[in-house]
Amino acid sequence: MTVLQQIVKSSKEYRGSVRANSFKAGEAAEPYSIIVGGSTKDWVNRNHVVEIPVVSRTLGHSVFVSTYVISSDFELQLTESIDGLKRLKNDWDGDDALAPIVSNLDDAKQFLLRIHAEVKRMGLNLPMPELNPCNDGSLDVVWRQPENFLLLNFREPEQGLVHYYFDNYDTKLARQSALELLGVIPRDFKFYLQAIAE
Amino acid sequence: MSWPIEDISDSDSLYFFVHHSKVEYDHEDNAVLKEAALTDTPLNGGNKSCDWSRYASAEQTRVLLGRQYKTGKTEFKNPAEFFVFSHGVEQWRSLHLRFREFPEQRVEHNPIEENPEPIGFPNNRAHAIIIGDKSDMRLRVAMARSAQWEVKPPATKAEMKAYRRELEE
Repeated sequence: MTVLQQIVKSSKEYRGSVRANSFKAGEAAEPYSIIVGGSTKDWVNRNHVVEIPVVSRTLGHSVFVSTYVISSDFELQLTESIDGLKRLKNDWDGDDALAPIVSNLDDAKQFLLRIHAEVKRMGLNLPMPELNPCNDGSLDVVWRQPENFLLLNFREPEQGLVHYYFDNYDTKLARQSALELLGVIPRDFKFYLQAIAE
Repeated sequence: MSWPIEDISDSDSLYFFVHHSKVEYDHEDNAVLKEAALTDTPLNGGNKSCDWSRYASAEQTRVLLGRQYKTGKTEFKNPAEFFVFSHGVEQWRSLHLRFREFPEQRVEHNPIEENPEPIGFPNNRAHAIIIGDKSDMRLRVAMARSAQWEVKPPATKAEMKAYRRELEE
C-alpha cells in the first residue's frame, strides 16, 4: 500500500510530508516533499477516484494531485452500504420487517471502522462483512469465512453495546457475549478478529 | 364453520417463506439462510409466522403469498421473490432443553379465517406461530444452519444475481 492510500484510508485530517514520487503529483512531479493539507471535505470524490489538494513546499501554492483510484476501500464501501440501508422502509422484505433503526446503523459503522483499524494494526485485512438488517430493526454483521464465523448484532443503541457470537461452525463450541461500543477491545475478541481476518 | 385450533405434533414440519434478500451464499457457493431471517417481527406481535405441514405443502405456502397484499398496499406480493425452508416442530420446541439459556419457544396453531374472505388477506388453515424471544444469536445461528430448503433459491451466487436482476426488470 502506498503512503497516499494510507492517507486516504485514514480519512482524517492529515498534515505531513510524503515523497512526491510516491504517486503522480501533477505539477509536483519532482521528488521533493509536499504537504497534504486540509480535511477530507476538501477531497473530491468521484466514484472512488479521489483528488487531494496538496501544497508544494517549493511552489508554495495549491495544486491537485492527479486522480488516484482507490480500490476496495473499506470505509467507502461501508458508507455506501450503510447509506443504502438507511433508505429502507418498513416492510422492505415484503414480510413486515421493520426498517433498520438509524442509530443501530450508525453504531455499526463506527464500530466497524474501529475494528478495521485494529485489524490493520495486526498487519491483517478485515474483509467487508455482510450487513444484514433483521426483522426487528436491529442489524446483523456477519463474516462467513471458510473456517470461522463471526456475527455481531447492533440492537440496543441506548445501552452502547454490541453483541457478538463466534464459532468454527460448531454451535456447541460457540462464544457469545457483548462489548461496550466505545470500550477497550478485549483480548478474546481480538482473537476472533484475527481468525476472520485475511 | 370455523376451523378449530388444533395441537401440533412434534413430528410435523413447519414451512417458512423467506424473501430473496435473506439468502446468502457460503464459501462453497451453497445457498444459506441469513440468521437475520429468524428474528421476530414486532409489527405482527412479536412472533414468527409459518405454515403447519398438516394443511399445507411448501409450494402451497409460496402460492398463497401471491394472494396476499403487500403491507399497507392493494398490490399482491410476488411469490417469485420468496423461497421456502422448513424446520421440524420438535426442533423449535426442544431448543430450551438443548441449550439452557434459550428462552422457550411455543409452537401454536393459529388458523386465519374470515367469511367472506377479504381480498388480499387469504384464509389459511395451516397458519401457525412460534412465540418466544429470538434475539439470542446462538439460537438464530443454530436454526439458520438447520433450515432445509423446500422451495430452493438459485444454486449459485451468480445465478442468484441474475435472478435478482430479472425480478427488478
